[in-house]
Amino acid sequence: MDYSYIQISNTQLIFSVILVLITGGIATLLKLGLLKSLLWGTIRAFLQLTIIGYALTFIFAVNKLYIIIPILLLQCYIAARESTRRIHKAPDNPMLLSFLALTASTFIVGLIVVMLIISPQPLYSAQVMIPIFGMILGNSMNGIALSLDRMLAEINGHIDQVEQLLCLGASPWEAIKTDMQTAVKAGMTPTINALMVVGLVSLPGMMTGQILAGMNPHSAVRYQFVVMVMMTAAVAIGCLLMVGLYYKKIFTDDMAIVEQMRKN
Amino acid sequence: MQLLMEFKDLTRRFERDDYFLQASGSLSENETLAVRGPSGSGKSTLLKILARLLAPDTGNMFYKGEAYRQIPPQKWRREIQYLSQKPVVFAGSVQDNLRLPFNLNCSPPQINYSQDQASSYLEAVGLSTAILPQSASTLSGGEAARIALIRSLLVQPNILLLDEPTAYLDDSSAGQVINLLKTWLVEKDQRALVIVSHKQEDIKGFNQVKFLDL
Ligand SMILES: Nc1ncnc2c1ncn2[C@@H]1O[C@H](COP(=O)(O)OP(=O)(O)OP(=O)(O)O)[C@@H](O)[C@H]1O
Ligand SMILES: [Mg+2]
Repeated sequence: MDYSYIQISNTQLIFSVILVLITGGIATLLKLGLLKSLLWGTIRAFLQLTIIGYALTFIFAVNKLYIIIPILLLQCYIAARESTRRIHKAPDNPMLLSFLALTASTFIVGLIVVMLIISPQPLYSAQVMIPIFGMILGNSMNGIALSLDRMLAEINGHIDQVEQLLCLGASPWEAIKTDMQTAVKAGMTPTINALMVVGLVSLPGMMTGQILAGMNPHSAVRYQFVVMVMMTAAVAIGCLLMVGLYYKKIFTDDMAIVEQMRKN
Repeated sequence: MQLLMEFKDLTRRFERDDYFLQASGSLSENETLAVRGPSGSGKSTLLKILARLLAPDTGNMFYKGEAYRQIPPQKWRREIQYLSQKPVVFAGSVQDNLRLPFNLNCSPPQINYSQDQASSYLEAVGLSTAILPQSASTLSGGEAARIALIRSLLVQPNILLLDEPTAYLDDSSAGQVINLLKTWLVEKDQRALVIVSHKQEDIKGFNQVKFLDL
């Protein structure tokens, strides 16, 4: 491996404490009551990242599918829980469906990117798969959370319309179609907007990392472009699957809106 | 006289334990069932149950002798048209609204949208065809209520479930709507009406009236 990038030594790392002290100073000065969280957050961030560092070193060294796949699934599970955590009073539990939508979107897009676009040797390289799948997952997760939230809010605000459509002969899908469009759009908008401004306001984290690691900007830009479009695709697939799988839970067997939707 | 609809011992409770709906009744051809009762007594709830938008806790409903569970909800709702207390119109023009049921995947079988029929209904309730291109979101409450009624009539239901159809109307427009319903009832066989209304005059307009007090 080429270690042409500038390493951060232990001594240098300690200087980053200065930054924590600045934040702590502001928090104390304004009596924000954030000092404890700041301290705890800093310790956690350091420990979590250290552990991840060791774990990744180990996983990259072993580089076996029977380790990579369970880790990716675990990440999907954590993301599914996170994407549905804020949603209370939803009919049924959307967690399982979110897991399905996230896993499907992440693997479909992830495999296209890894196999066709990056194609490392061997194809199943943990060093490529884990960060790429992780980036996809993070975006899908946010997209799904936004879509789901929006879908429930839209239907809740349009119960009279939905019921009248059902009465006029609409199928459940037809009755909530416009609400679903709004929901999928809400999930996809942030990543599409990100396409517009990428590189103009700040350099994306991944590209920054690659440039700092010594990669030539032309190559870093190519990677970044692939990553951007892959995120958009993953969010689109994830939101569509989520909303498409979940909408049936809004209706009873009798094609009426479930009771829970009225209670929000 | 053919029995069209029957509901037996329908009950419905909500989480609030001071409210309990209980109702039975029947409806024959050409009949009008007037549902009365003070505000909060469950008139709208009963109509929603009859439209199968709300499930009853107990009891059964029959349409032409068949229990409701045997009839697909889409067919049930098309033949038994429900209109909510708050009139609902959708984005688009008035014309789009009237055509809406015919543009659905599962549009009413053997029925086509009839512009002549729509125009004659509009005229009957005191609206002119000049309203057709108007955006539905700009309609007044009373206009929206009448457009929603006409939209349901065009689907050619057998039973109409109307929740205070004249609430947004002045006396003369209300009279026109009641007259239209009166002719609609006898224009064809196998038609009947369930109406919720606080107004005496509305009910007086009909010939064969039964009362259901909640
Ligand atoms: N989804 C619901 N959850 C809880 N309570 C409800 C729900 N729907 C209706 N209720 C309650 O049930 C009772 C009956 O309501 P409903 O709308 O049927 O009355 P109504 O007879 O139509 O009154 P109004 O003449 O004012 O329209 C009311 O006390 C209402 O607050
Ligand atoms: Mg009511």
